Amino acid sequence: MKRSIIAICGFAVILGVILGCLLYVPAAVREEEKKFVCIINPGQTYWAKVRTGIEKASGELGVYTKYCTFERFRLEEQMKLLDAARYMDIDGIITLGEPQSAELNDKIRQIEKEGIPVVLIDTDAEESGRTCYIGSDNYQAGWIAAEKMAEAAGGKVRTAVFTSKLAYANQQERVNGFCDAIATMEHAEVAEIFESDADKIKIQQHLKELIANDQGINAIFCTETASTLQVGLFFENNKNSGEKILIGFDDEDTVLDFVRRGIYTATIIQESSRMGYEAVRFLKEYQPGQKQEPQIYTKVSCLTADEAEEYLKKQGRN
Amino acid sequence: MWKGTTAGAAQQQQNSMKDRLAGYFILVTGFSLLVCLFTLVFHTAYGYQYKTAIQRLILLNTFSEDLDQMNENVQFYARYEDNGYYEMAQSYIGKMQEALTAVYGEEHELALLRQIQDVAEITEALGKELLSIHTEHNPARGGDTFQAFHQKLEEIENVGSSLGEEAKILNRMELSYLDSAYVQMEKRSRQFNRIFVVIFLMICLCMFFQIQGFSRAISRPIYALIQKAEQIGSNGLREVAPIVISERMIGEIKLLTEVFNDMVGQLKQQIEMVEENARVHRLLQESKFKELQMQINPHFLFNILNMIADNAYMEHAERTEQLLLSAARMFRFSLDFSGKPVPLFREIEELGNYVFIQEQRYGEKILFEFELDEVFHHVKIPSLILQPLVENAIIHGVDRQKGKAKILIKTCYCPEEACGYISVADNGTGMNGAELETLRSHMEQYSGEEMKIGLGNVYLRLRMFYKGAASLTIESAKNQGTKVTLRIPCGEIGNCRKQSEPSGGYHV
Repeated sequence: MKRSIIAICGFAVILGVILGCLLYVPAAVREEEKKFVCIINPGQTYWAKVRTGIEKASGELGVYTKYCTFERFRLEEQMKLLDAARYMDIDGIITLGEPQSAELNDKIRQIEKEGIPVVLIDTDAEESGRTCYIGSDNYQAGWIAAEKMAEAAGGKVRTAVFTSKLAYANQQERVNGFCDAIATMEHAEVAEIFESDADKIKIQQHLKELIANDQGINAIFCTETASTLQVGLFFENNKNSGEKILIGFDDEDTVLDFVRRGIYTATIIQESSRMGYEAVRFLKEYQPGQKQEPQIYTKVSCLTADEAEEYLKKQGRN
Repeated sequence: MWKGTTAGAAQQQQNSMKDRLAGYFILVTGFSLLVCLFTLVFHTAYGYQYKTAIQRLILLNTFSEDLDQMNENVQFYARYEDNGYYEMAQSYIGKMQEALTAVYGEEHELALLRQIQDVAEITEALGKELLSIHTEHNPARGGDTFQAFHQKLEEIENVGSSLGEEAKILNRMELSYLDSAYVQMEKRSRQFNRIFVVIFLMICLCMFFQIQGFSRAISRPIYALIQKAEQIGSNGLREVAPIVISERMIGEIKLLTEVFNDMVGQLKQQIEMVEENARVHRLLQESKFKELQMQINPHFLFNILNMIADNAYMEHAERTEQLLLSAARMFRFSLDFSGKPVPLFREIEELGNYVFIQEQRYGEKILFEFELDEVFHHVKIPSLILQPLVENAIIHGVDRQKGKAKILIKTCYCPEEACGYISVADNGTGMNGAELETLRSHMEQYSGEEMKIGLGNVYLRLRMFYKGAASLTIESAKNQGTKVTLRIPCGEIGNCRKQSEPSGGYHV
């Protein structure tokens, strides 16, 4: 009888342990940590990589970065999110600048005044009084593209530039870099600069006109992803449009595929995940009053068909 | 012996069947109860978790509704600059904060926790900002410019709508968390069920083996008992060995086996006794038959002897007549008392006739002496028990001796032992130790089948008559003589007179 009771007690203990294991859910503990808000574009390979960089840095550096996106690139929405961020107890904001927008610059200035450091990525806006800019040197990017183009064309270049909107600072800088580089070369000129507003139909129509009119253009430089994709598609579908040297921008899967198949001679790639990572690290190490480097550039390079495979492998993409 | 291990002892058995059965009952009931209890606890906890999750969703929903109300009131406040709207907006903010505090309570997901914290921070800041606008910038209350007031309120509205977005995200997160938590709970529930099925099977298996063992512990010894009983039935008790009792036996079964063993032992003893009695009875009957056969000759001889004695008287041969009469008396005695108890004095009287005849035969070569303590001579003894002893003494004492043989017949009563001693001693050749041993063993083994050994016959008759209470001792030394002593129980004798003086020589 005694043994039975001992057995039952033992059984009860075992069941209790099992029950505890099954029912136990550890409560989350929110430690005191630095909190940053990141307000950037959604989706796309480029921004997704920025986000990967931010998340990687947050995990490694032990900070919490709240990630907010706006549906389209709309200043209004960005302003709202910045206001909401201001209302939180945060230690820093990561967002992208817009030098043309006085409203955004004012808002950033206001935030800085309230003691919250703002780091701009991708696009700089020096007038906003931001703490730091981290991103590609867009002028340099344009310059590299021009050099690559001249090299591929064998010196004689008559080129068209496709950009989304010159009002956007980063586009402007890329175009400037490109144009300045072309200007230094002999037998090279920029035939036209086309602003597409990232509109697919506009791009396609303009390309048709361009081919039809045949102004002796032998090369095209696209300064952003949307143009790169549309131009690539056009030349894929219209093989008889004559040999053109195409230089694209960014490393969307389709773009890389175009490069691989030789439709594009090369594409300019930015280290977008590096941008995100560096932004978080900058904010984590930021001390108010300490003198900071106002601009940190991440690497910009040119990717050709030969390097595409290796690049994809390195990125873990296929 | 077996009476000692009765019911009283059975109650104290450590390992009793009652205990075991009670143990099994407790085990089964306990296990079942525990399993039920734990299932109940598990499902209750489960239900609680689910209920909390639902409550959280409801709270978040309330939060969103309050937020909408708050936004609306802020708009009205901006339009009408009325205190009432401000108060309402603030009260909604208060409600929102309460809801968030309740949701924040026991959070299990860090991302969710952070989102709630963010929303809470914005809400709190909203409240403060609204308060500062109300107190500092409200033109109706003498605040600064109308434009600044409206700009600020617009900002509040913007943040309010952002907060709405954040709340939506929170809601989505909560829902997806709930979904994953539900999946998790389902998984754990399945695990729980599986574990219980395994535990149940294990318990069933354990119980099966336990009960198997228990029934075997009962049935095996019972089969052993049945087997023994059958063995006894077919072969009898003689070859049956007791059943081995082990300490691990169940109490009652152990007791039963012990009782069985005792019973068999008792039966064996009783049967041995009955057999012994039967053997003795058979011997008695055989000797009676022989006696009857032998009685024919003495009668005939007795009559002839009497006739010869009459003849000798007529021929004046007195000595012959005396001899014949003595012989006739002997025969008479043996005829009358053969196989019957006879008082000791009658036996001694009869011994006198025999001694007289022997004296006539050996003359000067032999001397009989009697030392008699007559205080116990009324005691009855088997007839013709002394004559063979005297005959032996003559054979071994006189015939093999050149000198004068002396035979001492002595009776003596020992009141301490309540026994009479009768001894016949000679001064003949005697025996050495080995011879004496041989004689003693012959005597012990004597069963009446052969009549060669007079001593054995005497011993057997004594044993039968006194049922072992009498004894016969032989003392002897080489060339010094032999003494045979009978010890006869005769109980307390009243008027006990210790006769220390022998009555002197007795000559017939």
